[in-house]
Amino acid sequence: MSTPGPVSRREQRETEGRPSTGRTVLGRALELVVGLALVALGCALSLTGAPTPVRSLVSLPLVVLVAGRAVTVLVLGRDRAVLGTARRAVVDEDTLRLVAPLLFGVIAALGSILVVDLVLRVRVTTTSVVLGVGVVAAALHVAATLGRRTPSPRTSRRRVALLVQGVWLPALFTVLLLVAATGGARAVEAQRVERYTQLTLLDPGLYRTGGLSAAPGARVTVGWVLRGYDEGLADRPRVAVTVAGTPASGLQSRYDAPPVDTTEATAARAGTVSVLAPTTAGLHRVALTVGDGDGAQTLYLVLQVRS
Amino acid sequence: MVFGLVYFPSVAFILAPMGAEGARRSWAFTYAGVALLVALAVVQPPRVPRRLRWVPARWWPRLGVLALVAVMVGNVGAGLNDPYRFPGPFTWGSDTNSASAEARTVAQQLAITVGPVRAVSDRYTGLALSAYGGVYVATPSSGFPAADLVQTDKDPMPDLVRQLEESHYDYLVVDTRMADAPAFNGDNFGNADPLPGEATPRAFLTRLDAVPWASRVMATDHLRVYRLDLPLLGQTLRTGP
Repeated sequence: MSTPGPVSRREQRETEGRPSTGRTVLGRALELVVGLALVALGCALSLTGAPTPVRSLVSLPLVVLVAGRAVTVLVLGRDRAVLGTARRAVVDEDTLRLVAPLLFGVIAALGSILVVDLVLRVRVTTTSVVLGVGVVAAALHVAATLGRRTPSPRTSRRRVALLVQGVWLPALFTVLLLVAATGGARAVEAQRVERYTQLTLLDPGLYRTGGLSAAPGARVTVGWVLRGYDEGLADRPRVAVTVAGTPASGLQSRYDAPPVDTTEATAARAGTVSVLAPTTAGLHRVALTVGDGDGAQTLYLVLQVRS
Repeated sequence: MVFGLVYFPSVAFILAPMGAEGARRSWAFTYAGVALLVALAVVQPPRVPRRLRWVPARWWPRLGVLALVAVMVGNVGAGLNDPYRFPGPFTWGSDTNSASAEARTVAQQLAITVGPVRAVSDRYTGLALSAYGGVYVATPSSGFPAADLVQTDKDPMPDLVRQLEESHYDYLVVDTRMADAPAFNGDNFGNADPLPGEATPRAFLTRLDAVPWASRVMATDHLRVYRLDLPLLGQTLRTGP
């Protein structure tokens, strides 16, 4: 009849470090809530129309990493010992567990996007991508959290030291290197500043018809808008009109308040110019020039004088 | 990992013009499978062949990292040209450095004024028109030589006029920088460009201000938007008052 031998120091340590059943249930519930909350936060940021940098750097990474961590737990298990210790590996399991969530997260995201597009027939947008990946991430997280059978043993002090030396310090060094490289690249990046003016017609109807039409000798009116982009404009820019290559007769010019601009123009001027149409029927080229010096722009319109 | 194996036959397709686009796009997906293959090799490294036993064991991880860097940098270098990879000054005809705020604001203004219209434009300006203005930009081909509007000094042929009118391509957008230098990528209108490797003669662009079938309705320092009125083709503009 065998009698139980003395408990080894290692087993004793692991038994002492192992959480009780109550703590395990509480821990799992907390883990479940935290994971789902992160997914909800990512989806909410996307739905509320957060700025692009927030959605790119926070929203999508949140759902991708939750999905990746869940798949890692499902594939590799939560305990480090799952893969055994007798492996002959260049990179230890800790490194693998550090990288696996990223890789699995990206795979889960790509799969989710395919489902959104090909199965659900939902248009692929930034919002639908985050929502699709978020739903998958939530499902994977629930499966990974509730489907786990055993709680994890605590790591020993030696293992923590190895983890810091073998994984976290190189990871920190890599991150610092990437940040420095990004900062250096930004520092040497050439910043292009474009200074230019834009002249366009005030009346959208002229765009649709493509030209002007008038009776012989009648007055023809054209509205214009001159915008400056990092380019200064005179308060009353010069306006000139030629018809068929010669200065127009009866020119009358007026300056108006420019329409509201949504194209980030730094200055805008608007006005209306009217001239007398030629007395001969046919097609005439009308050249409208607005602006001063290098900022002047010219539009060439076709005036049809009806007989 | 099986999915990752798709990567290897796809490499051959980049040698064929028809397959290059699809092969490159497939890598966005197959790289994940390739990564798993690499991970497997790292976690379970193969036994070192007898003839390479002279290499100290501690060197293998370093050689592996060196090879990884070579693959990562080399892959990008082989697939993308310098202007694509690095920021820099405006370079006409490059994929990314020919993007300009000027083209963006013209596209936005066009969208504000007339909405998502159809237009003929070079493939670099066309990107901005599509992205910021919702403009449907024509894709020239041998059967639809829309590039002839800009790349020749002749009026469009009747068949092209019919196609443009039937498809409601009512606008032509021109960037005058195409007359300053040949496109970095070799063409302004893709495979159907009548002037591959050449800068567009400036006279071809200024001619558009003298034909009755085009009205310049928007102008910036480098971009010009023309409203096409092709029924006026063949008529003459009077030269006197």
